[in-house]
Amino acid sequence: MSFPNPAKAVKLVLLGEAAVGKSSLVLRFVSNDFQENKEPTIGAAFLTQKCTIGDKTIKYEIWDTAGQERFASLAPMYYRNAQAALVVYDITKPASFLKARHWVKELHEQASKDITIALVGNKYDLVEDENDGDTLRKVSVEEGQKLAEDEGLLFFETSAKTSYNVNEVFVGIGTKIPESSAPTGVQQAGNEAGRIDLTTGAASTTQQTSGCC
Amino acid sequence: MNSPPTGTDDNSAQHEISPPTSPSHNDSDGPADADSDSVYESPDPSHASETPDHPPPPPLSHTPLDPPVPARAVVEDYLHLKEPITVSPVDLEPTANLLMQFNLKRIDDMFHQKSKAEQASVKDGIANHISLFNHLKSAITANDSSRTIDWDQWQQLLEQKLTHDQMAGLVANGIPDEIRSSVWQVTARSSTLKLNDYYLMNKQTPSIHERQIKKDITRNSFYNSIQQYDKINEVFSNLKIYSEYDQEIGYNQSFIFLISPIILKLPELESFSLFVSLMKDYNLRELYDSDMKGLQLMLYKFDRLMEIYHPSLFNHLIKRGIRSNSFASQWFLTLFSYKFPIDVILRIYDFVIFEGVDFLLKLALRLMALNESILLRLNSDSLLAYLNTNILDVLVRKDFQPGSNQYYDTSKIFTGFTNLNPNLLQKFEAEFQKLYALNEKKLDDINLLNLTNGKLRNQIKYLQMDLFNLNKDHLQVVQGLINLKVRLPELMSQNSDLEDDIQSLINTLNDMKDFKEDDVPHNIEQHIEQLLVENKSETERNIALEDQLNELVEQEHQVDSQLKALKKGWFWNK
Repeated sequence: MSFPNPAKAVKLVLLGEAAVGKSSLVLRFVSNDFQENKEPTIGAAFLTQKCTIGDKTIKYEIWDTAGQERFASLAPMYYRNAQAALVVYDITKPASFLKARHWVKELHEQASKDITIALVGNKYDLVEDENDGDTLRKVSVEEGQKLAEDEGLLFFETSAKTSYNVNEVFVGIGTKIPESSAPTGVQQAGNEAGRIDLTTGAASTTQQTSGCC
Repeated sequence: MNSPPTGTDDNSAQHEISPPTSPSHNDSDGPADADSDSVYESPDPSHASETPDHPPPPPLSHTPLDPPVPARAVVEDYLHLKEPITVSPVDLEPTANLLMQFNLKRIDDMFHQKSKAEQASVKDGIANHISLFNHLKSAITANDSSRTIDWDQWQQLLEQKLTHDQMAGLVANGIPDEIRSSVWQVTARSSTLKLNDYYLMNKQTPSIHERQIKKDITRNSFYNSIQQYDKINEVFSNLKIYSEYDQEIGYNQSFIFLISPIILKLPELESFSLFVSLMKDYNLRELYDSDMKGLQLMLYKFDRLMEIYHPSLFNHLIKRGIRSNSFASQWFLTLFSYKFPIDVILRIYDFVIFEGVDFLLKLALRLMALNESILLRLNSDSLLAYLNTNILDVLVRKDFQPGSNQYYDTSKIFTGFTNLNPNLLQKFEAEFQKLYALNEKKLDDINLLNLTNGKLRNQIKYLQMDLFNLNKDHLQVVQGLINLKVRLPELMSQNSDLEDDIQSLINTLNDMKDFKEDDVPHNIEQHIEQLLVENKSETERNIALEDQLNELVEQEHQVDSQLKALKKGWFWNK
């Protein structure tokens, strides 16, 4: 195995209310697949996917967290050293947008300072055929954009079901993420989970190598 | 972070400690310590008793494969435990399945603490299950000769006439599906007596969790056949009523996975009762506390067991920052039912009902053992992915035929368990409680510091504002001062001029004082009056003189005219 540029590992965490489509976004990104009525995530799931942007390759180490409020106490473990975060809401569920605001606030307060955050309004497929008098859409594009602008976030509306805009989220993150962003080999002492030593930089033979974009 | 303390807190108080890094077994661990070698062997009743005090290998020893550095994080954890932790060990017979012995004893103790009415209800239940068992026995032996069930043994089990080792042997081979629900309920001593009325009364009571439960019921693969589909309403009622019954825990998305294997086997009300038993009597509910303390405890125990029973693997993972919380949470929260098919899950429930929730630790250790050689070869970047997604791959039958429902090789999963010692687990729990309290204190300290920091920050803000204002004032004052300094010479010279003026005025004044006293005539008014009188008389004289003058001018005119006349006459006379 040889790569011109060893893939830069980026730890990414997904946060958002239950059933907004976090796992579905990941499934679409990692396997280009979709599953109706996907089972709820318990605890968290871990997946990896490589993504080539121009001449750089990013290997996303994705922590897909459980959305139910009951699991909120586990979240810090996953976002603590994350370099990127997707805060996901459902554009047909105003409450999920409110929850997204809370996550953005918590990330700004608790996560690492230079974390790159994308605000993602999912389930676009439910409203794409609707005209101006949207019936299902409950969170307007403008509301999402405004929050993103106010908080300095990337903003996307996506559909994991139709794959609309899904890759764009990860390309967008990869483009915006600071070059100097925390070296992934840094081993945190203590009870940290999820930090893994990548200083060897060896690309594993068991990993998917297909570019996502 | 403020969940109520669990009942296990009391343990930490009365424990004596072993040196933290020593793997485990001081005398307090009792006579039946698990031998680490047994990890890879089938349970053997005689094994544990033959080598009761043989300690497992030290946790931090390494083979050439291991990273040379011990697990620093773990060592640091222990360094916090300066005082010894002591446990008062439970007396256990040296059996092949200590967890089972411990759990059944606990269930029995709890049974005896129940009210007479409840005890009677449980006993009635057991009698019913036994008579049901006899019906099944005669029906099956008459109609299905292919089923080979050791009816006598199972009957004795229901009647509690078997030794622990006999029970362990029976359960290890799986409970026959026909009698599974009876065996579960009899073993857990679950009774519907108290819950019956509650359940029926609350069936229509709305719950805030209703919508979430309804949604989650469709999000799994348990109810895909028609008869299973019929169970959906029962699952909904079970979970909704539980969320009301135990409002502190409410509803957790894991519950769909927990309840499904039960509801698929038991009638609605009995399912609820058994679920409540598992949650309360088996302490399963602690896993779902608001801050998931019970889950953290499970993960802690798992890490400590890994350290003892699979030190190489433990070091391999910890060196790369991987602890069980990054892959095993889901195993414990769903009793492994998230990924396994239902036939495997039912077997897991068999064990949990007999051995308690700590059986999950045995299963987790077994899974790690089966994967150890693969995990040790894996690079750090793929370890997490493997642990999260591929850990069950080693269990897949090599000879799996599509269409068969025997995807996993259960003989691999359900053998070779480590005979965990409950006393060891209790010691770990005491350690955990201590670490947890320390951590809580640390968090409290951090919160307090954050609070103080915030207050000070605020103060700084105000002080900075004050400083800014003062600076502004200061600047104005300085500017004024400069202006004044510039004007000072001018003012000084003005001042000295004015002083001179003053001096001269003083002099004048003094002069004037002298003048006033000596030179001003006192009779000046008389004098003026006199002058006025003089002036008047002079004016009168002047007027008189003018009159005289006018008279004289008149006379002169007369004289002149006489003269002219005379001259004229002379002429004419000539």
